[in-house]
Amino acid sequence: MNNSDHKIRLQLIRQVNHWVNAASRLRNLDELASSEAWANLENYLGLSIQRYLMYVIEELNREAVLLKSAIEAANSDKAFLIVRRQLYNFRNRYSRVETTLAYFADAVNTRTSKRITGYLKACDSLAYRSMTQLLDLLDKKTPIVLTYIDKGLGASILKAGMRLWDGTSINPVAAIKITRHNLLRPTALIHESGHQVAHLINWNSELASALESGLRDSPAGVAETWASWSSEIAADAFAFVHTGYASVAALHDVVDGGPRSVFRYTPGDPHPVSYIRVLLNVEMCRQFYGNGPWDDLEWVWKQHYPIDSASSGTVSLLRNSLEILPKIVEITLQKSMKSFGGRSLSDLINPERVKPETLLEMESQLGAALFTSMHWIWTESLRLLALTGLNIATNLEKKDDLIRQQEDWMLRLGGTLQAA
Amino acid sequence: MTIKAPFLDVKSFISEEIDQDKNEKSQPVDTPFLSVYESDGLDRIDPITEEYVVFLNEIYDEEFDDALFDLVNEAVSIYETKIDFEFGGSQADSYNIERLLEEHFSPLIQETENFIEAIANEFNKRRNEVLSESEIDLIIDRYEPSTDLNPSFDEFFKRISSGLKKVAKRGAKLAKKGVTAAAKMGLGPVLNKLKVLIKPLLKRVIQTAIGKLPPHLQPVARTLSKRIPFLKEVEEMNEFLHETGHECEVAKIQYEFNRHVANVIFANTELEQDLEIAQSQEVGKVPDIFPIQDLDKARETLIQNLINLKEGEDPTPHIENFVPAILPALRLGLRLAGRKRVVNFLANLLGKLLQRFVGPQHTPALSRAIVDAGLRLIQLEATPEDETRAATTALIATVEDTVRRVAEAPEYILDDQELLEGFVLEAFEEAASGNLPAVLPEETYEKHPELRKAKNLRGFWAMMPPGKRKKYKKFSRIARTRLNPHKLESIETYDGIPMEDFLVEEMGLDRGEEVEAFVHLYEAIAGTKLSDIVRSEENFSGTEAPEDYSMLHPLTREAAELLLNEPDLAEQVELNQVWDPHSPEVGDRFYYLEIPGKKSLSVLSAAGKSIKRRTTRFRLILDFPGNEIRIYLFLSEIRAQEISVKLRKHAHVGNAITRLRHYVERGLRSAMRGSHGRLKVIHEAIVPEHMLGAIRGLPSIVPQILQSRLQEWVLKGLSEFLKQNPEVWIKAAEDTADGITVKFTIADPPGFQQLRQIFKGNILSLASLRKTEGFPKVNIKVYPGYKHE
Repeated sequence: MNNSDHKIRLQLIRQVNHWVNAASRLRNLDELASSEAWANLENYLGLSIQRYLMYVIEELNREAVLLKSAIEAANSDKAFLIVRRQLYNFRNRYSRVETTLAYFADAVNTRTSKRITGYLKACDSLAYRSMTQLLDLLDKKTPIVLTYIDKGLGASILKAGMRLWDGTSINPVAAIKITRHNLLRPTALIHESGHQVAHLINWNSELASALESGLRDSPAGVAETWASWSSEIAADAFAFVHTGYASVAALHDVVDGGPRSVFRYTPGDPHPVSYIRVLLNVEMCRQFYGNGPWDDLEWVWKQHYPIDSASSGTVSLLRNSLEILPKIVEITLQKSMKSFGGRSLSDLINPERVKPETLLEMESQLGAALFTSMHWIWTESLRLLALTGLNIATNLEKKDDLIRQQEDWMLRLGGTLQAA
Repeated sequence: MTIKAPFLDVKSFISEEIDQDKNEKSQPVDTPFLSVYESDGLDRIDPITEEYVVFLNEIYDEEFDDALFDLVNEAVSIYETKIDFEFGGSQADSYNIERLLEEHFSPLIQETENFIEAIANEFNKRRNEVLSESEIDLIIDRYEPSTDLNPSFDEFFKRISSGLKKVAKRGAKLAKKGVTAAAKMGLGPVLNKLKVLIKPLLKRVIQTAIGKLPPHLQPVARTLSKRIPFLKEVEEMNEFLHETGHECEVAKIQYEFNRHVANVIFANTELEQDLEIAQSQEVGKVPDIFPIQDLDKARETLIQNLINLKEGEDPTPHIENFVPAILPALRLGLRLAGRKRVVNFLANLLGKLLQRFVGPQHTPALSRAIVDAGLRLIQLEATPEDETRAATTALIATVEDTVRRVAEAPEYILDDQELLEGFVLEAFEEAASGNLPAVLPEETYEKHPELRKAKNLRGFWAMMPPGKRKKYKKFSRIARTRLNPHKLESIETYDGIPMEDFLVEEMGLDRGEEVEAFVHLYEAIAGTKLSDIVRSEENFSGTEAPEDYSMLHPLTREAAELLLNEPDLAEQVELNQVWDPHSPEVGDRFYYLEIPGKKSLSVLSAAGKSIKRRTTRFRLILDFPGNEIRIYLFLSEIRAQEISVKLRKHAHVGNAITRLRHYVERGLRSAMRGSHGRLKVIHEAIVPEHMLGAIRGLPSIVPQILQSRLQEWVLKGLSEFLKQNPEVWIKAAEDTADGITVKFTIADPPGFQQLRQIFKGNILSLASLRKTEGFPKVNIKVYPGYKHE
């Protein structure tokens, strides 16, 4: 090896060693999140995430071994060039793996106190239950759920089964972001769980086709636009069948951000225009429950946001959509679909279970025990979410008490879920 | 005589002289107080002796057994993770382990001693006051430990606290009567002496955890039988029960501890108290004998010796070395150990029987059969060496099982060589059919179908875990089954609880729900604790804690048939067998239902910790000196809410009672069988360790009458109570505590005094029992959460 080769090799070796060591150091998961933070996850969840992250890290370290062997064997300009390329690739892989790790570490680290841990464990359980109720009937496996808190207005999900940043691994958990302001009104959780379910049973594309063909008599472009919103419609419908009016009221409060945002239409955005989305959700209530508090919500909504305030390009879409809302609800909730094994969503999860009258009757029959007995909290947690959401939305005088009640039962639910 | 056996033709053997067991003649150990009441030759029972026995009953607490068992488990976990005790086994190792565990328990000892001392000081300060029972409770209840105790320490502490109340109350009564040293010294100093008993108590826990040979204790009844003639009969009945299989390791620790406490409380002088205390400290002085670990070592040596056998080499000398190591680990092994000729004959015969399976010419076939029978289902990465090892271990398991069966043989068989030969061959066949996979030609199994226990599930019972220390056996096949309501209702688990009820209350299964489950089968070997299985098996997804052995159910014939369609996989279960989850018998079989997606339900404890929810349970207390019967019916949260919903809806009370009737009937049935923790008898002529014998010794009509009367009184009382006070139930059910407890107190029950006489061995006519009609006053109280006394 000549002198210049030696110099090149030295520079490369130093860099390779740096990245290889960095990859090796990733193995200590307690440096990502403290052992207390890991212990704040339920046993199975913590193990599952740790096992997954270790897999990602070990894959990276396997590549590190190859890189190290390559530099040790390199003895020509060509070989050094190849190693240099491998090094760049490895750096990229390292960054992507680190992004994956940082994502989970941040999520795990949001369980900062006993109280937040309790809420989030309850959220894990609520989201899981909402999915398993449907997926069990379809003989599909329900992914485990990791919820975490973050800033912002809306919730989001990193779906299980999707390829992650590192490019090789498949996300093992449904990671759901819940916003701080909605922690005690977490119906958005169920909406996000709906995205996961729709992904697993291929509901979105089937719903899109159904909307496109079912609305084909509408003016040009309307059916296609609604079809493009199918994933959000599906998630809204999923939240509705599990939590009824509570999810509608919560959705309203999140999207009620003034005329500009309410009427904003962005082609390609899977979210329907907020104005019509709220009305679609109201229509779900009306179609299944008749009249109710959603009528007032709709009235005020329309008062606040006269449809003519929308831009000229959007107003016709909205006007044309108003007429077909009942049809859209019917297609979404009552039409038999292959994704549901030849049945409809409302056949599998009956929205009657969360009808206001049904919920209030449950409250009256079970009395205070509904919120204190672990039996009811465990078996009826989703309906408790629906009931509390309904009461908070309709009973302003008792709002503080109701929120306290919600806090109590959620903490009770979360507290019973074993730590690692 | 030549006996044909499918495994081997064995020639008769030469007549041997059999050593007879020399019956140990033991001298009764007098309790200190007895010296004052020397027997006067009459069948009179002195009142203090009676009071002493009553106190032993009062203080005995099955939940203390549970607490001690949890500590034993905790100790096992510690030494298994911290020290490789596999084959150290030297005196130094034993010393180190004991030191390590003593260190672990030292904060608990300190905390408990401080507690007793503080209470003693409090009583000392108030020595001139006459304290009521509620004042005693208050003094003890208000004491708080100085630090947060872990759950098992906390439970131990609570049980000590509960026991201390009983001790203080009894001490106060004795003081009032002016008898015993307590009267002269005052309660404080007496209680203060008791703190010294905590250390030896925990020493016994440690010794049990590390498998040290327990000290031989003189049965308490033997010390009292001179004074209470009836005890002699009960003791005989109990010895029979002991031979037929019931003995609880942790209960023995408690009996011993309670005896020391009682002897101090009832001592007449301070000197007698001090002598008792001194005797209690002897507990550490047991020899360093570890029967289970010695068996592990001997087994490992035998495995290596058999694997290394050369072609045609006789395994008999190795078996001869091994058999004596099995005996100390078996409950009845010592019976056999005294009969050297029987042992030699047995080892010799087993050696011959094994010749067809060991050595380089035979082992490969057995290894293949082991692999075919599912070795890799339980040992995923088994290498060829592991296969040979597994095959050899299965043979050794066959030897161990044969020896156990022979040790349990009746005396007349052991005494008769020809009968013994036949018995050994039959025992070997039985053992081989359980432990070995199908190794015989197919036509042999067709001819002798009894040699194949499982008709469809072709597996074998593998000793587990795969390492050197064996803790249990696992059946190599894991069966998949669909659990439907019919099956679940027909299968019963402990206490006669239908499996459906268990799964609804334990795992939140919906009534009528059908689920898929995987059935894992286990068998106890010498030294098995059910928690060992939970700790070692990874598939216990439904449970989080190693002490959660309630998920292991007894494998009855019904369960084996309905779950596996293999009734013969169940061991023969004695009718009315009392299952004790703390001390399974060697050969007892269990199963675990792994139900994907289901796990034990939890609740938040008062301390904010997640704990397992309690299931419905029943406890009957026959308090003869108090002339009352107390029943504690704890209803799980789900059951409490079911009844509460009915009451809120103002449904007909009969509707609610129908459901409760099942729990009462089931509970009474279980209590009358003497199931673990379901019955307490406070009586002047029965000690706790003989309670089961006393119940079994009753004429069968007596428990039947008692059961039917109690059922009537309780249900009528409850019906009236719910009609009058539904809101009491509803309010209790609204509490955040887990479940509710209904306490029934039946004062002066008709016929109760006659029953008291029957328990003393006095025979009464059936007519006199039947005459005891009448309806006593049933007082009912409903409490949120779990209550126990």
